Amino acid sequence: MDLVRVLARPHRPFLRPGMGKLFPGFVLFVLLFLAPVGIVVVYSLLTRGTYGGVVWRVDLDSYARIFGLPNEDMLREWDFVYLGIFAKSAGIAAATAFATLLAGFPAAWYIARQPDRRKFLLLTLVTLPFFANALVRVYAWMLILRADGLVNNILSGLGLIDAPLQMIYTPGAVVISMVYQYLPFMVLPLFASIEKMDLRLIEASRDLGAGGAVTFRRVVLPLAMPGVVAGLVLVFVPSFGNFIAPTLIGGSKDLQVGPLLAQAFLSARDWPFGSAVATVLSSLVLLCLFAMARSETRGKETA
Amino acid sequence: MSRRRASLPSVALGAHVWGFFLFLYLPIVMLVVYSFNDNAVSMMTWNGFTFDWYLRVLANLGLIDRARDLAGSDNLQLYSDPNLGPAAVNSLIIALSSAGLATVVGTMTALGLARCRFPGRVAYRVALFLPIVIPDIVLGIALLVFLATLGFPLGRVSVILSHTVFLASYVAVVVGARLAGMNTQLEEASADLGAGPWTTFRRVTLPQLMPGIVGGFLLSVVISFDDLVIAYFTCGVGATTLPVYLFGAIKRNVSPEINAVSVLMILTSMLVVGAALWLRRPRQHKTEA
Repeated sequence: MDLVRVLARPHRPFLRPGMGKLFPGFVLFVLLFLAPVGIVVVYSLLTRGTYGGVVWRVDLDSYARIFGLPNEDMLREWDFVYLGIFAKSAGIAAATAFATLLAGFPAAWYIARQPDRRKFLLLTLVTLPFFANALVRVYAWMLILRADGLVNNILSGLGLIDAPLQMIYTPGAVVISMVYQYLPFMVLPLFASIEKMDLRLIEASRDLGAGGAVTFRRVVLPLAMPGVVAGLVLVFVPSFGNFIAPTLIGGSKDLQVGPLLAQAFLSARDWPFGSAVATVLSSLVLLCLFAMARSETRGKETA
Repeated sequence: MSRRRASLPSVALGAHVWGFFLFLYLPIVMLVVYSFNDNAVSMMTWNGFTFDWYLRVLANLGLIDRARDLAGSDNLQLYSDPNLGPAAVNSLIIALSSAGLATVVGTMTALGLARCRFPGRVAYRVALFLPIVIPDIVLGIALLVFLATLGFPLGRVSVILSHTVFLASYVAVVVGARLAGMNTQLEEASADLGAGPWTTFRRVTLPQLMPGIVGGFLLSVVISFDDLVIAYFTCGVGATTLPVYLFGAIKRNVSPEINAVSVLMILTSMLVVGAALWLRRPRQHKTEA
C-alpha cells in the first residue's frame, strides 16, 4: 500500500532546498561513524592476521569462540568462557541497575513533591556530580575501598577490624562505583514519570481501603513504570560495556566485556575476535534500547 | 500524601534523601579534602594541611617557577613530571576544537532536519542517536581500527575528529529540542516583511536558538575534556589527553599529586557545566509564550 502511495505521489526531486545544511553532518556521520562501525562488523567475519590486522578470508570462528562452539581444526572443545564473561557483565550491570532503582526511587519521589524552584535546585544537585570526570569518580571509590583506604582506616581506627577488609577488586566494588556513576540516569526518568502522576489516584486507592504496600504495588508502580523501565535500561546499557570501573577496581578473576574488548585489540591483537565481541555487545545494547522504545510507544498507545 | 500518618514514612523518606545526597557528594568532598593531606607515603592517613601537591601540579604545568616558588618545601624535592603540561594543552585544544566543530555541524543538522522534509528524515533522526548510545569503547575501537586501516596518523587530529562525531549528534539533539519548541510565526513574519532567508536566519532564528547552541557547545567542551575511552584508543602516543594521562598514572601508582590533578579537572568541568546550566535555567517571565 505504501509503495502505491509513494508511486502515485507527484514526482518531487529528492534534493530539496535547505538540505545543504545536512551535508557536513551527513558526511561526518558516514565517514566517521557508519564506516568505522561497518568495518568492525566486516572484520568480525574475517581471519586473524599473524601480526594484528586481518586476512581477507571469511571465517566465522570468532563468533564460534564467543558462543563456545567446539572447533575440530583447532582442537577446541565446548568452552563457555566468553559466554561466561558476557553473563557476568550482564549480571553486574543488572545488579547496578536495580541498586540505582532502589536508591533513586525514593529520592525521585521526594524531589517530584517539592515546590518548583526547589525541584530545579535538587535536580541540578543530582546531575552535577555526573559532570565530574568519570575516571575521577571511579578513582574516588578506589581511595574509599582500598586496603589502606578511607573505610578500612575508619574501621580499624574504631577498633572494629584487625586486618583490612578486601573491598576493592571485587564485583561489589564495580557495582557501587557504577551506581554512583549512573544515578542521574535513573533519577531523571523516574522523576519525569512520578511528577506527571495524578495524586488523586493514590488518595482514591487509600480511601477504598488499600494499604500502603498494596497502593504502591497496584497504583504507584504501574504509573511510574515508564520511568522505571527507562531508568533500568539507561543504567544497564552503559554499565554492561563499561571499561573504566572494571579495569580499575574489578578483580582480575572477574573479567568483563569492556576490558575483554580492550585486551583483544591492544594486547592479543586479535582484530576479528575483538570485532566480533564488539558486534555482539553493540547488538545486545541496541536490542535493549529498541525494547525500551517499543515499550514506551506501546505505553502511549494504551494510555 | 496522607497528613494523618505523616510521621514514620516521611521521616524514613527524609533520611533516605539525606543519605542519597551524602552518597552523591561525600566521595567528591573526600577527594578534595585529602588532596590537601600532607602525607606523601600513606595518602589516606591525615597528617596535616598542605598546598604542596597543587604547587607541584602548577610547577609541572609550567605556571609557576619550580626553583623560585617551591623552595623550602620538603614534599617538592620529588621528581618532576614533564607529561602533565602537554596533556593539559592537548586536552584544551581537543575539547575546544571538537566542541566548536560539533556545534557548527550539529546546529546545521538540527536546522536541516527541522526545516525541510525529505524521504528518510525520521530514519536519519533516529540514526543520529547511534553515536550517543553505542558503548563508547565500541566507538573508540571502531575508530582505531578504521584509522589504522586507512593509515591515518593517530594524534590530536584523530581525537578531534572522533570526538566531533558523537558531539555533533549531541548538539543536534539539544538544538533540535529547542527548535521543536520554537515559534515559526516569527520567521514567517520576518519573511512577509521582506527579509531574505539569510537575514531572517541571522536576525530571527539564530537569536532564539542561541541559548541552545551555547549550552550545547559548553556541554560538548566538558564531554570532550572528560572523555577517557575514545581518546584512549585514538590519541596514539603523541597526543595524550589529561584523562589518558591520569588513567596511566592511576594504574601505575597512586601519588598525592593525582588527587590535586583530579580536583582541578573536576573544578574545570563543574565551572563550565555550571555556566551551561545557568544559561538554561527556567526564567520567571518568558516572552516566547
